[in-house]
Amino acid sequence: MKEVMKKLKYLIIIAMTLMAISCKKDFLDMQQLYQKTDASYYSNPGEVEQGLTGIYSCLTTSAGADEPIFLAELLSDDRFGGGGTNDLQFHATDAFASSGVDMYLEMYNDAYKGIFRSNLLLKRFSNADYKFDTVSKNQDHGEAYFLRAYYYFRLAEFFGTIPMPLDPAPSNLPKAKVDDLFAQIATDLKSAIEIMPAIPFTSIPTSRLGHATKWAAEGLMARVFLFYTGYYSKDALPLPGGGSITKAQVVTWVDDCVANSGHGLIPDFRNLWPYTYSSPLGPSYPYVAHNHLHWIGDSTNIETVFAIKFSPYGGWSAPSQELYYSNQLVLYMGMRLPQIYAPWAQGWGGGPVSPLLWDSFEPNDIRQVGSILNVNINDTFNEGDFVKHYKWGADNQYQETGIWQKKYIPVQVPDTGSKSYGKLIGMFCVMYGAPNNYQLWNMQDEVLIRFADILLMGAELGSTKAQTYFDAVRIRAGLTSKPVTLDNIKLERRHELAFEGLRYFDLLRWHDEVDAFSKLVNIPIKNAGVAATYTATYRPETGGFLPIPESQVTNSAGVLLQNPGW
Amino acid sequence: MKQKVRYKALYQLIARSMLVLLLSFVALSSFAQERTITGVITDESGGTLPGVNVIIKGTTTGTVSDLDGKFSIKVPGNEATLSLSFVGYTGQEIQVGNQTIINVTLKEEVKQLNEVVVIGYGTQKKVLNTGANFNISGDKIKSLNTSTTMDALKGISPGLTITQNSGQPGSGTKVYIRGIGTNGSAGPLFIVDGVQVPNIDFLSPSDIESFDVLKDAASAAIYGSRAANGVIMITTKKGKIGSKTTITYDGYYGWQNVAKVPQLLDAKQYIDIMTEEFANSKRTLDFANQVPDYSKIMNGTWNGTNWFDLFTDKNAPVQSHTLSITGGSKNSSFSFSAAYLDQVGILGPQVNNAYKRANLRFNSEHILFEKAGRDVLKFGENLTYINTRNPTIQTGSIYSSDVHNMFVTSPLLPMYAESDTDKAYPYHYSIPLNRSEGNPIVNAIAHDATNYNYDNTLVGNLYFELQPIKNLVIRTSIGGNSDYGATRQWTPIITLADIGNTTQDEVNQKLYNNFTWTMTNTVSYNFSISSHNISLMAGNEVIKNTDSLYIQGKNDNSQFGDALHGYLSNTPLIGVAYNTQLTSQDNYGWGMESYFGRLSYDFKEKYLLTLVIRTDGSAKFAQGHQWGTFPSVSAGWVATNESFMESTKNWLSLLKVRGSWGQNGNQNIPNFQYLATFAIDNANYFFGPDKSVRTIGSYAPIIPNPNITWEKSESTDLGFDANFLKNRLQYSADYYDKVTRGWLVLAPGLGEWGTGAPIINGGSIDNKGVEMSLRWNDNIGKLNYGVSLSYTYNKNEVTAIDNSEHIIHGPTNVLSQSTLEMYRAQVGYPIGYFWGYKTAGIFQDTAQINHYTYTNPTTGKTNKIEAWAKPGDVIFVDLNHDGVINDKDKTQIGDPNPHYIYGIQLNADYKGFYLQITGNGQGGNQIAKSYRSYGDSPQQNYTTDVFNRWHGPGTSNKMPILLAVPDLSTLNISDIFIENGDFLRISNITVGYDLKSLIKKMPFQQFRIYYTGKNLFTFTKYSGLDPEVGYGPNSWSSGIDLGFYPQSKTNLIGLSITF
Repeated sequence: MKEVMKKLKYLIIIAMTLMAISCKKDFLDMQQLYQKTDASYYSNPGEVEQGLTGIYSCLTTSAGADEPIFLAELLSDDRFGGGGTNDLQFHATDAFASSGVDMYLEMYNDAYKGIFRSNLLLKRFSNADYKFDTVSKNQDHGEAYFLRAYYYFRLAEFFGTIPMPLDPAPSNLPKAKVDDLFAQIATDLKSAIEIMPAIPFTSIPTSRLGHATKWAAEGLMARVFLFYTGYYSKDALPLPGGGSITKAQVVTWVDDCVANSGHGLIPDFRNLWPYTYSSPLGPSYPYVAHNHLHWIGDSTNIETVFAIKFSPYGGWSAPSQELYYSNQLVLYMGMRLPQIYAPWAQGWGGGPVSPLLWDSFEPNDIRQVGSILNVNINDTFNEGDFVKHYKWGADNQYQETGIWQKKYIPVQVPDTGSKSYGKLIGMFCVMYGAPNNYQLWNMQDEVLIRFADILLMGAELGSTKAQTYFDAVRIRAGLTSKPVTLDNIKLERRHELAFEGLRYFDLLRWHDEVDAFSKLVNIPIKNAGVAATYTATYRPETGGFLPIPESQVTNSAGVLLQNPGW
Repeated sequence: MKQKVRYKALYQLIARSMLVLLLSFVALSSFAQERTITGVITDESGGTLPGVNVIIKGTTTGTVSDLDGKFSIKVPGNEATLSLSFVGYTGQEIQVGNQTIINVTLKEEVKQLNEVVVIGYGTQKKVLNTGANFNISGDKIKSLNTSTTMDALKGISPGLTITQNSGQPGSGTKVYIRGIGTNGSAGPLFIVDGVQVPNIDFLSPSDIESFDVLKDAASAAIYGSRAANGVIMITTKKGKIGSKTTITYDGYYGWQNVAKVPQLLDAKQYIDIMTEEFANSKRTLDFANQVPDYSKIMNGTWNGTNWFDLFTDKNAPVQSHTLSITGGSKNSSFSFSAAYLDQVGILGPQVNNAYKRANLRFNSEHILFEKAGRDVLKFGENLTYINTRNPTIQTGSIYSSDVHNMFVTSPLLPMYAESDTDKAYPYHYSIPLNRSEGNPIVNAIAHDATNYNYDNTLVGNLYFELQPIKNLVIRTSIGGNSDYGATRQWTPIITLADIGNTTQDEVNQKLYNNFTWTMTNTVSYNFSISSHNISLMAGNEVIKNTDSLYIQGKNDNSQFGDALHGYLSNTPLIGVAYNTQLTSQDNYGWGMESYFGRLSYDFKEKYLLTLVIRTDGSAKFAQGHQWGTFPSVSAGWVATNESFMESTKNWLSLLKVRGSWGQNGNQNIPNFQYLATFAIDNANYFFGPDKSVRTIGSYAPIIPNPNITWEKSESTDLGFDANFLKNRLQYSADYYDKVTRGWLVLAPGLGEWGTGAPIINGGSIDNKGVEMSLRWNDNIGKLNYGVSLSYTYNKNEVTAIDNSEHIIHGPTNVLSQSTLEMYRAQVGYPIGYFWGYKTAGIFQDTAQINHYTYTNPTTGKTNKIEAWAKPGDVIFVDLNHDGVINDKDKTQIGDPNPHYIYGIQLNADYKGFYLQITGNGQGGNQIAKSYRSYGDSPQQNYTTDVFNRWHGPGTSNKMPILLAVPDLSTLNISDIFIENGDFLRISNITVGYDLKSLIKKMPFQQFRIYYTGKNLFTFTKYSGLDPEVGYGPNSWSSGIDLGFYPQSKTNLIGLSITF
């Protein structure tokens, strides 16, 4: 036993020595060296710029079926569901139904991503040291306010109301009161308008194109005001903790925007849209050739007040390429088959246009053919051989009316490159290089606020210059003056702003939706080439709002309630 | 219900066996009469054995055989028993009875009771081990001639589930010990010569000395933190001190073929079926004008293209060569081997379809100081280098699987163009009938033929062992695991169909490097105080991952436009090269620091006790949450070593009862989950007129969870080992209950958080089961034979998920495009169970649809449950009786986890001939199968299963009407896609002969030639190609068959020579 004890002593000594030499005390405290971790991030303008860019990047999505303008169009009376026979979510969105999946989750999540990033930046914004550059500081600060308001307003339009976290810490909140939500949107926009510098669009360095401006904030304020006061039948926008924003105040901002922003209408409405682009080989679209049209381009378009920007970096090789860097809205709204005639390229066939819209135009309105391609009319003068060769039921096209919008449509032109021998390729491939892939090559701006809309909102809000604003839009469209009545404004908005994601919310705020949908009865369509009819479904019990994504309701454990009617 | 009965029966079986054993404790004895016994002791080959101990049992009286193997001994009477023992031979006991001459043949020892098993940081006599372990020698693994080690173990080890990810060579296996224990990576910890490695698929089976599986928590506890899913320990071959040099060559060459060929429709059948399908949807296809060879199809001169057949590599060769040299001098021993495997896949002769692996291994050990027969200081090293080249055929999801493409492409599309005016010359461009469908083989060639890769793995360690006093061993080992390699791919311009074409070729290159080092220090000491034997071990270990990175570049427009010159340096940067990419990722930063100790105690090898404690600190967690302590206790009783059991020894050689309880941990999550970080990877935006200018955006990618800590599993094991009839019959059984708590799961994020959810400790799962193995070894004259059986029953149930719905959802679009979630993890169900509708057949006519109604008990209103249905549609069961078919009617329609797995091995040898048969099987699991996408691709091909479709009243009650438009009958996930996956596979039949038996003068110790047939027979009712389906998009999902790369049927001949 004694001997054993002696041996044990050895053991203990050796063991202790080993422990002592084994490792340094801080062995387990690894440093994260390949990502920024500092809690004081956003301490300088460069980091704020990165943070803001991260917020802008949430404007785009890979999930085309959840793209906000796409959804707003499918919901409206001017568009049907379309897509292929298997695009169940398109059909369900159009019919106020459920396709079984967790619908609208991407759109919901994308907005909250933007909100989370805005909340984080706004919370830490005071840390940022701009030295004495208050102009830049106020511009950046205002952009963060603008973006948070934009994302919350997007959710408010689609869902009515939703949880409203204003802090980056995770939370599980019930839906905000509608008034509180709009008060927050209003105060963020008010802050943006008040602190952002009033630099005319034409004086902004082109490298900053795409950033939100004071003018965009004024325009969005008008849209928020009209939606809230219209849909909820109110006179003014609330502000948090009392006070309000009156119609007169909003009119002042709209008039300021019209007078001082440097934005304006371009001379020819049709030149706003990329189908009027001609490659260096000349126009391949007879309509463009006859009318001597020439696309204005994204960066020189003074009519764009605020738009989502895309790039040729669309692709599937993350992280350097992401699908959402290309314009998925255009892909989803294009016709389904690879057409062999320029200028139309392939898309997913979402949102066939209602014949009632086509029929509602006044004669001589250049916006009818300028916005719409109607293959039911054998217009070889404008459309060339395309109508003759149009293939019904291509790739199982669903709810096909033969009427397609031209504002956000994939455009292809003869290739000027040496490798593909006169093949057709996407217009942006010619303009910017690669990638030559129809799912990635759409990159036109997605205009969220267009100057024509500002003019029409100004008219609707009752600006003293209402008639001038209204006539400016009509005269450009080749029409003559009409009295600026609400009914006339309604029709004007439907024609001027068709396919731009505004129609559905206009119907809701005017309370015209039930009437509009009741007109869509037994419209002839084709499903995968087989004749059928289309009758719209609208469910007033939903208030026009979409269901909160089901997983969010479930995961909130009873805190977040589903919307009425769903 | 059936399963429960089977479970109960097992318990009864165990209980009965125990009872029989207990009853037999009653001993008999009698009196004696002295006389002399003589005899000769020989070995199996007939040679005499000198020096054998012959002892009268229960006494100290004994003798030793002389040079001629003769002995003579006086015995007290007929009741005496002679006990014969000799090193290296199995001891024998002989009842004297009335014999006077007893000639004995001693068998060379089949290592059994004195066998040593590997336990963590040491070894232990098998009889003293109290855990649930499984041990197999490397020779056994090698003898099955599989290309990977895991493949050889299928069905051999109870409790081990091994499923091939795909039949593609080199594609790896899914390994679970005692069921899936986590939602993360549920594979075990692999330790090769003391160094942790990610898997062992790279090891050459012939390099393995022994393979040990630590199944219960008590055995694995010494590896604490990393051992929640069990441990697999490999010892590579070592030389022996003072042994003569042995050179061994092993080689085989074989021919592999597809075991079961899918029966795809030929052109005529396809036209008939498509005509019906489109007519059912009121549509037509214009075959006559849009199929180039329509008349040839109709007059029977062309049957169309069988894409699968064209993509099959018939008699694909496999060859393996291993040369090993082992030996030792007085103070040193070494072992060297070089191995090469070249296995061509059974699919894809047009592309890079071969798996090539070269292994080099060098192990040696040197005694530096020796004193009084004690090795005072030893030094040694183990080093293994592996170079592999993988085949590049895409398998996996419906969007990227080349194999799936062969199943679905129309037989009407010809392979080759008729003239060089074809856009895809020399291949055929898409046909007018379907302008979006391109040639799948050319597509595979474009992506997989010019795709080169190599991977290098270097695993090794150096160690010193100091023994200052007898039985006190201090050991220090420093090891490393390095994995580095590169890939290079050139993709040509693709012109196959109207969509999916490219206009530029592309070059893609990637480099990666990972390195982890380990240092281990242990002290162990064994001593005895009277009959109390104590063995102590204490140690510490540090592990650090210092490199984990890849860097990848991609560019268009290569200068040469061919694969040979497909290097990035040959692709100039063009003006606006949006496809030019440089990507890199770093992910290092994991480390661990651990302290552990083990006390093993036994009293006269009768009462056994082992205590283990390990405490681990992991850098995966924040300070204050880094440390976890994992204790375990196990105990055993070797009943047969009790003196009162002496009398049963003639039929009960060993009875050991053992039990254990212990805890293990899991920390398998990404690094730095506790830190708030800012990422800049995919939040770019594009301001300004120049679209090529990216503005980099940043964002906080996750909500950090500073409180995250260890996931723990706890398991209890009760078992016994019983050997009967002089160890000829060996039986062991275990019951286990393994509970994993505090799963590391992604928290159920709310969209309103706006960023990635944190990982939390939030779920648990329970695996309960029974394992049994039974072995019989005996001889009839010179015929030695053995049979062994193994059986495992496992029940897997998720017991907690900490979100409000208690579900982790699976993804959509798995089985085919436009299908919804089909599997999930949910409390109360097995992990990854198939979720969908139950069906009740097919509507045969309108009347049946009209009668399928629901009457609301309160309103009295009656409605049709499937108002949308038409004859030929599936009858979905309204499970919750509310009159509508929706998610609330979905339920468990299948379980991909096998409930039982079993194996059988037979072996026999006779005068140099030998035979070995191995079979393995599983049952109780289901497979979800769909070889085509009903939702979006009505023109995809079918297998001849389609002839069972509904096409009029009474024609089918299982498969619905064919439609060219999406239909709920096929878009809904339901049990029409589910089949039982039970199978029994005769995985290996080997017959061989050792020429040495014939020609004794051969200058070889052994010269074996053999034939092996692999996967010759599979017995299953499953209709797919192969019932062993490992595919599932998540680590915890499996059993989804989308057109799988099947396993091969192989015939091979081999040679094994020992000099």
